[in-house]
Amino acid sequence: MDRMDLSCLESAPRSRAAELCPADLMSQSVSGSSFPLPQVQDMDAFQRDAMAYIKPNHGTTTLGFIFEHGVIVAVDSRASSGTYISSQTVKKVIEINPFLLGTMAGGAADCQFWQRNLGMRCRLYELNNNRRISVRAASKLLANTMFSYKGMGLSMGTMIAGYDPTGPALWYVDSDGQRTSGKVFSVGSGSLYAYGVLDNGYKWDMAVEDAIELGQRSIYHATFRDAVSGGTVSVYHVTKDGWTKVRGVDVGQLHYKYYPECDLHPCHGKPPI
Amino acid sequence: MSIFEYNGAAIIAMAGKNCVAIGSDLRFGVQFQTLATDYQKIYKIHDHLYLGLAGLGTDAQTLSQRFVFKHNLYKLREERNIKPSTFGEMVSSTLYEKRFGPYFCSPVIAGLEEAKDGTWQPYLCGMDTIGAIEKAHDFMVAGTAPDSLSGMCESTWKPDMEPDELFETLSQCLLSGVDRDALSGWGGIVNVITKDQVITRTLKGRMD
Amino acid sequence: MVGFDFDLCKRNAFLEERGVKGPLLTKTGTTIAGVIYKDGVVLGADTRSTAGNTVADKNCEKIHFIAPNIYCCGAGTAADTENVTGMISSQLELHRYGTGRQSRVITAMTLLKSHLFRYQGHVSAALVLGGVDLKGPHLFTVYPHGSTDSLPYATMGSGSLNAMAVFESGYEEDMSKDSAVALVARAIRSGIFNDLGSGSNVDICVITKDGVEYKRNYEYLQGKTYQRKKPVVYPRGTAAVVKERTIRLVDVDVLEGDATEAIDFRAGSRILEGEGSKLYEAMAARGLAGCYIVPIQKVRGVKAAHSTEFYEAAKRMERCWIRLLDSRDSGFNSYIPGGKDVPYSSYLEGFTGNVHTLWNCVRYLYSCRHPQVE
Repeated sequence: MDRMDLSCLESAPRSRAAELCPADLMSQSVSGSSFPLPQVQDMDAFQRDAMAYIKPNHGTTTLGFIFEHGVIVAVDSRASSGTYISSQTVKKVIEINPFLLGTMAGGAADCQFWQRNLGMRCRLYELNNNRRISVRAASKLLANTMFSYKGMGLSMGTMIAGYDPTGPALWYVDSDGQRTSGKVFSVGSGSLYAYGVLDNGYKWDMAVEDAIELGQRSIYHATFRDAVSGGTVSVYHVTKDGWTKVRGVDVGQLHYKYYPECDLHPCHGKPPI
Repeated sequence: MSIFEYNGAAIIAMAGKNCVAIGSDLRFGVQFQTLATDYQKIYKIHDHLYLGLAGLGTDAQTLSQRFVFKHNLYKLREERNIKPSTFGEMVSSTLYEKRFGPYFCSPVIAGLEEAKDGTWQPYLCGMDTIGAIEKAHDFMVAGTAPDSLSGMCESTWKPDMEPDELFETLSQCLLSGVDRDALSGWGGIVNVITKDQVITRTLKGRMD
Repeated sequence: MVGFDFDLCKRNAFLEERGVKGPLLTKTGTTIAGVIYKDGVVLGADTRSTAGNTVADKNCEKIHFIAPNIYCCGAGTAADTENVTGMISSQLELHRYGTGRQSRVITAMTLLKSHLFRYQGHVSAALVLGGVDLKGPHLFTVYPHGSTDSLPYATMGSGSLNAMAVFESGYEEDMSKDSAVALVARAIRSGIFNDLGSGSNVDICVITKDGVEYKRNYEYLQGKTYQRKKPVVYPRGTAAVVKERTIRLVDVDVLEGDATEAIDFRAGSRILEGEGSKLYEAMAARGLAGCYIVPIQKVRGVKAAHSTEFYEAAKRMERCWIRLLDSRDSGFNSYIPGGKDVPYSSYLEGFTGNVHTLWNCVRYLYSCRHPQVE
C-alpha cells in the first residue's frame, strides 16, 4: 500500500524554501517563509480548532482573462465575516511587482502574506539572474509553497497574472497546491455569476476598452447576485510595459448607470408599489 | 447557519408625532444568492395597521395569510377594523400556540390607534418567534442585522418627529443598517402612516 | 388552557438535524424577589429582557397581574412567563365569577405548578408568587418543573443569588412597609448592578389586605446617560426616492340621509358615507367620480348599476368604486334588469380590480342568483 508522504510535516517547508532561494538571504527570522509547527499529537484536530478562530474572507469575486492586447484582472472589494460586512474597501489585487499581479480569494491573511513572500522571492531571483522571473516560474514558487503546507489549513485561491518575454500569462494557484494556466479564470463565491457574463462577452480580438468594460461588467453582475461580493470594482490591465490600474468604480453607482430605469431590471418582476 | 439567515431581511418601525412608519429592504435571496429585489416583507392588515415579518420566507408568507384571514373573520364578527394593540395580542397568541414548534418569524407591528382624546397615537411592538411581546415607544427592528439597525435607530431617533422627518430618519437607519449586512438591502420600501394618508416610497439603495 | 400545536415540530427537528440553528428566544435573565412583612407582601423585579447578548427591552414589566389580590413575578423565557401567568389569571377570574369569592394564593400556586409539571420544565417559567387572601399573606416560589416553596422571603432568576445575599443579611420578621420595600428594592438593585442578565429599573408591588400599590419604575436607575447636544436631522430629500404613492384615507363623513358608503376596492377601505345624490356630489368634489355605493346596513341586493355617464367615467379611471344599493334606493338599477335581492354583496368585499372585472364580477354574482337572466 502506498504510504502518504509526510515529509512536508518534518520542518520540511524551511528546507524546501531554502533550496529555492539562496541560503543566507533566507535566514528564518527575516523571511518567515516557514512556520514552526505546533507540538501536538493530532495535527488535523488542532488545525480544525485553529481555523474556527480565524474567520476567512470567504465572499469574493475575482476574475482574469488573456486577450489580444494583454491581460485583464478585475476584482470586487468586500470583506465579510459570516453575514456581517466588515469592509467595503479591501484591496484584492496584490501588486507583486510592476509586471506581476496576484488576486485574493479565501483567507485574506494567507493571500497577503504568501504573495508578499512571493514578491520577495521574485526580487531575489532578479538580483541573482539579472532578469525578470517568468510568470510561469513565479506561479510555481507559490504553488510549491502551498503544496508544502497542504492540508494544514491555509486558504487561498489566487490568479497570478503578468507579462514576460513569452507574452501575457495567467495562472491559477490555490491552497490545495493546484496550478493551472488558462485564458479565462474567475475565483471566489461570485465566480459562477462572473463566468456567465465573461464567457458570453469574451472575444480574443476585443478592443482594450471593451475588455475593460467586460471585466467591470462581470464583477458588477457578480456583486449584484452574490450577497458576499460588493463594494467597488477594480480593473487592471497588464501589457508588455507592466500593469496599470484602469478602473475603480463604486458598485452603488454602477448599478444605476447600467439600469437607470429601475422597473426594467430583471429582478423587478412587478413594481413594488 | 441560523434559520433566520436563510432568506435575509431588515425591518424597522418608528414612531413619530401622531404618525408611525414601517420600512423594510426588498431583497429576496436563498442564502448568499440574490433572486429578486422586489420582495415585500411588510403586509398591510388595514389602513392604519401594518405587519412586518422577518425570518424564514415560507413561514412569513404562511403567517401573513393566516393573519389576513383572522382579520377578515374579526371584521365579519365585529364590523370594524382591529385595533393595533388587539392585533398585537392576536399575533402573540398565534405564535405562542406553536411554542414547541415555532414559525421561524419575528414580527414587527406598526399602527395608529385612536386614543381617548381623539388623537391618533402610534402603536409599535415586536416579538420573538414564540410571541413574547416587546412594546416600544420609539422604534422596533427585526431581521438579519438587528445590531446595525438598532444601533442606527438608537442614535438618530428622537421624540415627536413629523411624518417627513420620520421618513428621512427611518430611511437613513434602514439604508445604513443594511449596508453592513450581506443578506439584506438591494433597495428599500417605507410606509409612513398618518390619520389621513399612507405614503409609500421606494428607496434607492446599494444593489450589492 | 392552551392547546399547543405541534404541527411544525417535525419540520423544525428535521432542519435542526441538517445543522440549521433555531432562533433566539427572548429571555428575562432576571432578578425577581419578594418578602412577607407585617401587613402583606412586597414583590420586586428588574426590567431587563434579553435576546442572546442583546438587551431586547430596557424597561419591560415582569410583575404580572394574577388577581386583584395576587401578583406574580416571572423569570425565564418571556413568552412562557407572560402566557402562563395570563392563563392562570383568566382561570381564576372565571372561578371568581363562578364562586363570587376572592381568589386564594394557594389556588393560583396549584394551577401554576400543575401546568408547569405537565410540561416537564419545557415551559420555562420561574415564578415568585405573592398575595394576600383570607388566610393572610402568602409568598411562593414556583420552579419551571412544577416544584414549589412557601417562604417568608424568596428570590428567583439569574440574579437570585445577589438578591438572596441581601435578604439573608437584611431580612427581619414583621418589618414595616417602608423597610420591607427598601429591602426588596435593595435586593433588586444588587441584581441589577451585579448580574449581567438583570438591569435597568426597579419595579415594586405592595399587596395588603386593603389593596395593591403597583409602583412601576419605583427606582428609575438607568435612563439614557447621554443626550446629543444637536440631534441628527436629515433634511427632506436626503434619501433618494425612486417612487412614491399616497393613499388618502379620508375618514367616513356622514353627509345626510340613509347611510351608504363608498368603498375603495383597491384599498378595501370605507371613504365616504351619505345619501345618494349628496354622496355623489361630495365624491365628485373630491375627484372620486364613477362609483357604485354600498349600503352600510344589511345589504339587500346588488343592483349594481348607475347612470351611463358614471359608468363611462369609471371606465376611464385607474381606481374604481362600487355602488351597491339599499333596497329602498331604486335610482340606479338599469344595468341589471329585474335586479332584486342578490345576497352576495359581501363576496365583493375586499375585491380589487378595474371596473371591467368588477362589472363582470357583479354580473357573475347576479347570474348565480338569477340564472335565467344571462
